[in-house]
Amino acid sequence: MDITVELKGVIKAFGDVNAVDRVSLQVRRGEFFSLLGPSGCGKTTTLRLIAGFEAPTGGQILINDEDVADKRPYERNVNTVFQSYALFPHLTVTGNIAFGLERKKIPRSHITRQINEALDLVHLEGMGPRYPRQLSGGEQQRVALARALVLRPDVLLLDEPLGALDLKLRKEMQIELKRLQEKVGITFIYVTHDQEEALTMSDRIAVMEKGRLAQVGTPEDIYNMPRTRFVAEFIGVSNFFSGKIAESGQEQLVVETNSGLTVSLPGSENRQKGQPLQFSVRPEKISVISGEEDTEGENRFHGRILNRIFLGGSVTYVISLADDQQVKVDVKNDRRSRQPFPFSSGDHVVVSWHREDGVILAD
Amino acid sequence: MFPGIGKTGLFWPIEGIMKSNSSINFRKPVLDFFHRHSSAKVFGILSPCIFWIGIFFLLPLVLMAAYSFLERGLYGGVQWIFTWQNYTRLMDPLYLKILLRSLRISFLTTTILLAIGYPLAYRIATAQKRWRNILLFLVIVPFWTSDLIRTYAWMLILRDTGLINNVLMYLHIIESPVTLLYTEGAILMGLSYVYLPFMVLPLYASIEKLDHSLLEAAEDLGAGPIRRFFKVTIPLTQSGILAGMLLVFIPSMGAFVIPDLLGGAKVMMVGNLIQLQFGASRNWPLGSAASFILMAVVLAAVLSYLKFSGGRKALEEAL
Repeated sequence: MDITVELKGVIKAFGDVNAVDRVSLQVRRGEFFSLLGPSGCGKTTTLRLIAGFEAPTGGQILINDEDVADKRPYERNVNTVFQSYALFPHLTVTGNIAFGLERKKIPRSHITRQINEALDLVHLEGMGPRYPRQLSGGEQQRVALARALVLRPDVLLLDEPLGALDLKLRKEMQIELKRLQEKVGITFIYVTHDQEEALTMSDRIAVMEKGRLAQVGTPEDIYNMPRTRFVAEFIGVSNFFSGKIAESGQEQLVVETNSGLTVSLPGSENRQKGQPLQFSVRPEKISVISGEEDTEGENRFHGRILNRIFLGGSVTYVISLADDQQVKVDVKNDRRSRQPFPFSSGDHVVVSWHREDGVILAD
Repeated sequence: MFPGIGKTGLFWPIEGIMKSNSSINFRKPVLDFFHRHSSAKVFGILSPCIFWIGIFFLLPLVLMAAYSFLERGLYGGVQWIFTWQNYTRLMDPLYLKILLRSLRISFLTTTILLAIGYPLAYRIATAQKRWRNILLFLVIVPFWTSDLIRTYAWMLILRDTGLINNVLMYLHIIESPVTLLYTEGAILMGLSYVYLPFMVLPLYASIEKLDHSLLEAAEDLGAGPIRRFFKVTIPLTQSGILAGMLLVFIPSMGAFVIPDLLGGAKVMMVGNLIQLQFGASRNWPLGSAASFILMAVVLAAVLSYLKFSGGRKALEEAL
């Protein structure tokens, strides 16, 4: 497989703290790869290590199979879109975009053509003579993007580039960025703390926690099969259960939760009876039916509705299953559930989910 | 409209100056202020400033202007007889030479200080936070002593039997004393020494507020240290460079204590000439005329520099 950037056991220590702790990952050519995590998880530091602004304390960074340990940022064919955009205030839009090109000893006419192409690419035709302070935040962001893309880097690093924009513009730019990335075919490494942003745009996501990689995978993998509680909690909403294994088999695993429910989970190797276990179920995987129905069968439990939250596209019910066990359930607002949402606070209901929708979490 | 009539009529010149340039943001609130209040009220609020500038700046200037066109009194003072003579006398090659020397020395001082001050300010601005104030303090601390005393100290160091000559002779590097004192070099040395903080402080202020991410961006876009310095650091600290150069050049042109003590009678600058006319020579009108010529020359030098370097914008930012 064609790998653009590879990190091998990379460590970055600031004092006693490892901001980046033994991170190993491979980013494929042409991929939109996101580093996702809460602030302080080491995602920006990882990006700065790849750009060359920080030197790793340990481990190796390879760009196009070449160790870049002793290469300064200006010697790496990697460009960054900074969180603050970092546009040069003393240069026009054209001057900013030309900054990296002029070094490359390209004839003037070529530079002019490339600048115009870059401006077209980000829909800023005719903005060349303006100064950054005369542009809106969204426009500045596009200039920063054009300035980096015009150099045709092997990898484009983006450090929360949409963070300063308002919600509507951010949504537009997400789609725009993804379109752009597919068009130019450059590898993007995108740092964000916004899980929705990562899910929308990425081919693959690396979730980081306290300097380490918690999980790497496609958005579907990460959402449907979170490996740890941290990942399940950070991405989307989940219902968490903990208990002990009552029965362990190839086909299924039966868990007695601490709240007294008996739950079937998909079978799993190397699990012993009596072992403690945590698992999660996504709210939209759970269905709600009237309380008159019986609770025979797998994973069907009585509950009482505590709260009903209408969200437009869906309704969220908060349902109490036992004294110390609540679940959130999302019901879609579609044609099948017209005459919909017959339940309100206090109603008795039956909730159920498929065995396969339970996800066993590592501690 | 006649100035002084109408709501904002009194301030039309100010308004005109302010409108000529649209990039400064304090201009709008100031203009709004003029528009919202009557002339009398604005005048009332500004009267302390007008009074201060009138008494301590405009009045002496007008007096000097008047003196420069009068004949000298016998024992100082003036006789109220109009004459052009003071200005025509100053066109004498002897005086022009003094003026040229002043320009040369001030220009060199400014250049030397920029060359020393920029690296120094840069180093201080990029030092660790707890060191910055200590280093700045060290730059300013000579100010605590009168520059007269510091200049006398330099005389002791530079004279024929001074520290430098003694050491060099003791080491047998030279056999007889080298003349250091009473040369143009000594003046350059003294001016550079005294005006160093005037260069370093504005430079420090502009370098310190330089956005570090812009330097990283330059590096990211392929600029090595040298290109980065000339393409990003220098243009973005231009306001500090300009302020520092003006703060050194202007007082250097008018300096008289340092050239007097370190240059002696052989190397006279415009400042000494003026002082001499008001002092020993008792020719106040000639001194006044020399002052006006000095002022005109400094103004012309500064304005042409600003025009040449396109530094007007940077100057506005600095102010």
